[in-house]
Amino acid sequence: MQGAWSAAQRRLHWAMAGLVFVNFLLALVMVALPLSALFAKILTYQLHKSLGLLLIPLWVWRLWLLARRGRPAPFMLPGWQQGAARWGQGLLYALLITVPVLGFLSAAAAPVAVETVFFLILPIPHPFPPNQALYDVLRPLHQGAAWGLVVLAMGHGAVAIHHHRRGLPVLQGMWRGP
Amino acid sequence: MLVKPNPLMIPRRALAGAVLPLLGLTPSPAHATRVFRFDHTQGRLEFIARHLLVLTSTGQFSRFACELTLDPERPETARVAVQVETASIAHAYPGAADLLRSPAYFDAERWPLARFSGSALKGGRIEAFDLAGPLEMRGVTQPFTLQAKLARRRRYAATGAEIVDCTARGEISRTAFGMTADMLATADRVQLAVSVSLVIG
Repeated sequence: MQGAWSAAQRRLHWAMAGLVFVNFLLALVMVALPLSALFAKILTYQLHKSLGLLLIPLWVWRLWLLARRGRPAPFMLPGWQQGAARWGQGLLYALLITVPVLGFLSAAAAPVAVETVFFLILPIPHPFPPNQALYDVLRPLHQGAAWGLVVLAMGHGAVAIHHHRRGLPVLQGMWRGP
Repeated sequence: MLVKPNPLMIPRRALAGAVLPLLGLTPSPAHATRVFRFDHTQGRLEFIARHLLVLTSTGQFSRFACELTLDPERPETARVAVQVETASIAHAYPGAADLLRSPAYFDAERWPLARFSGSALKGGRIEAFDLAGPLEMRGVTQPFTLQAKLARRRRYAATGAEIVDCTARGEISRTAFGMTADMLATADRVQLAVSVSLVIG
């Protein structure tokens, strides 16, 4: 336990939150774009894949910081709320890595077989060739997990705002630090 | 995919001669031309497009017919004729095939067939030779060259037949055929690739 979140932990928290929401919106746009807007469609797909891949090292870094620097002591809350917070945050961490990994594996399995090139600069090799059956499983899993992540993150934010209104410095602690 | 040879042509003996050891085939002094006919049920005809300089996408034609006339001792006499149904274009990305059939690309309704007839250029070897000739697509005819390769012979496990894998590749400028859509997203140069296993014995 530590007194407060470190500056690096706070920055990473907001950076990842921003990336998740931007990438989620990007996913909705890229799927909706017609093929007649091919340039924009290809760009948004590659940007979506790149931002998703970026989440993986950030997640590792965040976990490393958590292990090294710990987290602030929990606020005085009823036991069930503390339990719910622990489970919710654990699930958020799990989804933060599951969603991009499933996304990358879906891209690899996709029958269309378009490469993944990180920000159109660095080619990332796919771990296996296109596979329709695997894609049919991975794609809905990725999509469902992404919706789960966004809904959970919004709930997480709503709870933080709720506590903030009740005078608990939850939001302030993650925004400005101690 | 296996291709049955034309029964009118000389069997086995045809793929013989001084150059055949390169393929591991039985040599014979006889000169013979052999005709191989194959279609979409036996071979594969693909096109590979590049996007934003770093990405590729591959589609195929699911209906085509090809006739390859080949004298293994005289690759410079090889000829090929290919006819493709443009509406048979297939692409794994949903909606892409419809876009490619549209007037912006192959305009399949107006130009239902694409044709290529090529003859070998001099100087080729049996394991790698060029086939050049006119390619007609979308009502436009342009010169086109296919680089053909014959691989070492092998035995097809299912039937025990001896086969030689044949691949041929060439590159077109799509704008030369009037396909000028999506130039920002898709490169002008598009590769065409044919692959088939020829039964030789």
